[in-house]
Amino acid sequence: MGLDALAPKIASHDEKSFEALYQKLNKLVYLVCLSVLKDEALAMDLCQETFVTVWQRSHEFRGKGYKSWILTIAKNKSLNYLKKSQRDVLDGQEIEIEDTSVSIEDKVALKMAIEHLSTIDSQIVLLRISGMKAREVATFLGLPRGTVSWRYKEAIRHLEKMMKEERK
Amino acid sequence: MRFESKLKADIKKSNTLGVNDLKARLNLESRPEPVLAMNNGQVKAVGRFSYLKALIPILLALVIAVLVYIMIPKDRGQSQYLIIDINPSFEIEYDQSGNVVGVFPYNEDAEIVLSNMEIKDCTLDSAVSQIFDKCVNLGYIGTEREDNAVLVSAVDEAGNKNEELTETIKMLFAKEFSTKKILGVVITGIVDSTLEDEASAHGVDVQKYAYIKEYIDMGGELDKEYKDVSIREIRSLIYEKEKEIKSQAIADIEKAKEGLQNGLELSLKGVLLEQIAILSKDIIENSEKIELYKAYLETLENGQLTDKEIQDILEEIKKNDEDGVLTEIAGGISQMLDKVNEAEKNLNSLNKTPEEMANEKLDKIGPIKDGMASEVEKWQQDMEQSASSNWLENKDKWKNDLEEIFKPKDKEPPKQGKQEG
Repeated sequence: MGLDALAPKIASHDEKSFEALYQKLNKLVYLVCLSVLKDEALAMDLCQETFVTVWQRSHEFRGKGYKSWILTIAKNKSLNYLKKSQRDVLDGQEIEIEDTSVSIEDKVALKMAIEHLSTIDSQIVLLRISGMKAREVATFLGLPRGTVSWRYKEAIRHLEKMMKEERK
Repeated sequence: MRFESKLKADIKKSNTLGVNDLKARLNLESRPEPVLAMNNGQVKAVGRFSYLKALIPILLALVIAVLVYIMIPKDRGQSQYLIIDINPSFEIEYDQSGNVVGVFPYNEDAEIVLSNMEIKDCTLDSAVSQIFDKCVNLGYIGTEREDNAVLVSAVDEAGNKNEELTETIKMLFAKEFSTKKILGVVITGIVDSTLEDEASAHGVDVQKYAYIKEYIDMGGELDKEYKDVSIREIRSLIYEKEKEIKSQAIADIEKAKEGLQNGLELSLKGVLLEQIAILSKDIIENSEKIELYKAYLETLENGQLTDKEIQDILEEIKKNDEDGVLTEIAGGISQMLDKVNEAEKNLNSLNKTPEEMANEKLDKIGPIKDGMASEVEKWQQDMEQSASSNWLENKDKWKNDLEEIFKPKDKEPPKQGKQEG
């Protein structure tokens, strides 16, 4: 069953459909959040928030592109979180991040991909690696398809080079 | 293991929270029903005021939605993309009303230029002007240089070139160069679309890629990434390479010319020496005959001879050369002269300067080939011949026809007068 077909069922709060959606998309949503936030614990949290919103607001979704709609919610939530945290730091309120047992240290490649790339490049790389087509990534990020392809290649080349240098 | 495989493995290792956690969270955040639970466990419907309170966020949301609807432009239309390459290389996304929607750096230099710049929502004119100024300030466009170059190309969402917009942007940059009194060129990319995929794979605009390809096809080498080569740099590299090829061609031609000259001289020398050797032998062996021939000639030159005497001397000369040796010697001398003339002609053909020859070599179209010229000449000759033969064949007929046409017509016999009587 396509993801678009799940939308009306989730809108009428069908739990099984929601579970199916979560199993299919949670990793992708998490990666979108991670590419923006660059923090695994926060990304997990925002990933859950995204699905909460999906559960509550799927009745507002119309037409096609349910996946893209969900990923956009994840991206916007992450960006809003970042903006808010920057404002709070400026206002003198420090953000407390929950201590979690999640560690990214043992995932060298993932760590490099989110730390050494710009947000856009990081998103392109993570989404492409997760199996999204260049055309889908282009639509989601609002970039030309060619740009997505070459930025992906450039980013991977850059990361491979860095990894080789680190090994030395 | 390649980086992509490692990254895939890392992503696989990354665990998100389970669906049960999410469900638990959903229960926590489930919306309250519009009823109030009493301490005693009874449920009581909320009062009118409480309903109003509950409606406030909805009303507020409605007001905000209306405001947002009014403020947001209704249809921004399809985006267009503008690629600018100075060497900071950018992609500017803008909507149909010409406002910048986003700017994407293609390389680090572009990131430097774009830092602390707010051009989102600016008009395209203003964005171009700001980018130009920043490039001047950071030295990417040199005020003292004469070889500044900016490459612009505008494409629509489907990646098709928008020539009209490209031209507009070209004019904007040209205006910037002119008003700031900086020398430079603005290049617009209209090239073979078959290069687009290759250009895209290298992360550069197709026109820039075409320049790079041209340079590499000329035997040039680049020691950095294509996207890090400025358009000014690549144009200058092509110019230098052309000069190098030209000077190499001149040197090659000079060397070849020298070799050819030596060869011709040597071959001429060889032929002449061989000819002279044969002639010398013949001359020595037939010296008596030659002396006699010489004497006959002197006698003839004397001039005071009768026709009969001249006739007799010519008969004697003929008899003197019955075996044809003298004729052979004369033929040999004539042949030798022919060789000398031919060699002179060949040497004259080398009179073009090496530079002229190198220019011909570099000229893509090339001069009209000899074959072509002779074809034209032949055609002309054929036409003349056919015209003249037609004339010869038909001149009498045509003459008669003309005479017939212009022949004064016989006067009609005067009408007879009234019959007498």
